[in-house]
Amino acid sequence: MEPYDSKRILLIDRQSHWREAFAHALRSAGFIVCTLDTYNYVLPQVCLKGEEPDLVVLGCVLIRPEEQMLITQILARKHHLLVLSISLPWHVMHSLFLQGVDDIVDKPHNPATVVDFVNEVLESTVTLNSYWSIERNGIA
Amino acid sequence: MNRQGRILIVDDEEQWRKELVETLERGGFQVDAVSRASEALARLGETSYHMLVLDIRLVQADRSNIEGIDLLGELSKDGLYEATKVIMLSAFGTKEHMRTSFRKYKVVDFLSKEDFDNQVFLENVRQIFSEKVDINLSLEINWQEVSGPEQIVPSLEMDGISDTHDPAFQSRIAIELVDLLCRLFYQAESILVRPMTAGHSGTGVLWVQPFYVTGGGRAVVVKFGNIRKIEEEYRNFGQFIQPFIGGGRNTVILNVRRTSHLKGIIYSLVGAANNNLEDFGSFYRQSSVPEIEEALDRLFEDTCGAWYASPGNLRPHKLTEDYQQLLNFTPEKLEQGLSDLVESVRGEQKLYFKSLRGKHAYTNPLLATEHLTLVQPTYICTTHGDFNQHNILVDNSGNTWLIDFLRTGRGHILRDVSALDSVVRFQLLASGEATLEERLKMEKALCSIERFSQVEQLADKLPTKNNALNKAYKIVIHLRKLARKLVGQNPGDDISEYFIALLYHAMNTLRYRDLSVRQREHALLCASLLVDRLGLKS
Repeated sequence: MEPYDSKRILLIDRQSHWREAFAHALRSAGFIVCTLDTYNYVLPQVCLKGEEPDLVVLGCVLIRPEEQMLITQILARKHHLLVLSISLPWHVMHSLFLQGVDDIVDKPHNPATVVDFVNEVLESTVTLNSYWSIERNGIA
Repeated sequence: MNRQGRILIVDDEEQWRKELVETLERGGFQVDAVSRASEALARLGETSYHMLVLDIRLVQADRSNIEGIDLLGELSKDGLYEATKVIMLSAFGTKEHMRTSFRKYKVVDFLSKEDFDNQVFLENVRQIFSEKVDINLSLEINWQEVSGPEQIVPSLEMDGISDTHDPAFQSRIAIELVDLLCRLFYQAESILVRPMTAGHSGTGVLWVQPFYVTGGGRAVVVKFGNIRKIEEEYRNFGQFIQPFIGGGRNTVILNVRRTSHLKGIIYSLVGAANNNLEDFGSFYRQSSVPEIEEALDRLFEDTCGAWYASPGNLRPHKLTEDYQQLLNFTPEKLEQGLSDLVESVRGEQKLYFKSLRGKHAYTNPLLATEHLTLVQPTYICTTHGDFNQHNILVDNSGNTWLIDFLRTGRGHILRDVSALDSVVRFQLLASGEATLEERLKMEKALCSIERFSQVEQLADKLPTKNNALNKAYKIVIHLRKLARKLVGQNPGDDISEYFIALLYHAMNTLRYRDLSVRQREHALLCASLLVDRLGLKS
């Protein structure tokens, strides 16, 4: 049984070796990890048993129209998103940050490094949830 | 009314500063420009800017200089970029700089000087103003009962500001208050605003009715002030109040925003049938005893009922610690309050009141409780923590709502009822409405019982023709009946825990310099009688 306060990570990567290596590193660090090898964004509701992910990690090589479509879907559902890619050009990074992606980093050679990136994003989203999300969404 | 968006440019190159200032001024913005981070920090302390346009390298000759990024770090320390949105504009920005700026410091854009275009930049700024700053600079603010915000800000207490009466500071905070309203009500076309009396927390309260394109909205209450205090209130609301929201009448938060020095919360009073809400003090003065009793029943049984319904198990509780933390008093602060009464009260171990006939000596409650830690078996639950005449709102039908959750948290179950009991006797019984002799008689009557089950017997113990005193006495008895219900499951029936709570509220009342000498003498007398009644000796 996972600890009550474990964070839920949805990991999407079509390349199985990256997906498995990252998932293993994240699980070893205590995260609840659900992996997807497709860009069908209906599935996370099934694999996370209806719970919203605390963070979506998208591993990809390029940002093509299909990745862009997936990113739009993820952000539309107000999920936090970390993109792991390979040397994205300036204008693509700029565009993704403006859309609301939380962080964009190169895919690390050492899979354990992804845990640090995930923790950094989660830390900043805690602050965001505490102080700023109400400015974006309001509460009632 | 059209106010201007205020933008600060930070760039070491004069040519860029000039070009950016011209471009933005042409676009209708009010623009200031500085060349160094230190100057920027000084300007940000003086003026509330909506936006900052910031270069990364602020020493052109030094290629390793990242003073602009360092400035972002400074801004992040107090969350200033929540109020002031930042655009980075640099000739030397790397992808890592961009990543740090967006991820860590939440900048709203990161632009390169290499492909800079005046018109595109101006459009970007306008778009950010409309999408990210969320401010309606055209909001029409109509003040009622005051001529403008300058009359409201003098009562605010601000962190790190010793002289809040400095005219320059007040003028700056008045501008920020207008700015805050433009942010909180950015979807409205106009608002009607009137001040409501604030409590002792150094924050302000406004009654606001917004008007939209589609028509007039429901009136709401805006709490504003020192950022730290409002954030604490907001956290308390989320932790302690939000879980109980549901059903009928509730206070809910609609929006929370900040400027450089101020933060504000919009409270909506869900279920209020009309806009004629008044605070409890005003309601008390205008209503009959049965009407007030009915409102109090609703307050404790409906508005706060869910909190008190989950008191946990009976267990020993350090009441001294509870009330010291809640009321934030120290022996020194209380001593100061007592010394303010030096003209009318003499003595040290024993106190003599000039206004009382005879030479009776009263125990000094401050000395009697100085080193005592009072512990009683009782219940702990969520409490509002600051029941007073201004924080409880009542409508025409006697329904109640609460505002001001700065002191909300878990604590002694009788905190709130004892606070209101004290407010009725020491504050709502106005200075000229009863002599100190009459007040003493009331306190003696109220101290004459030992058990909660004897509260009913109090009804006949204060024969008086003084209507105001009689009203206060009846309301206090009703509050004590409600207190009895709150601890009804305690088989002990001992009223001591309530007397201890009243003792601390009475001693704390000595600090309220806005009360008359007679009202504070009353509180001191009450504390003295309670000390004797509880048999306390330091």
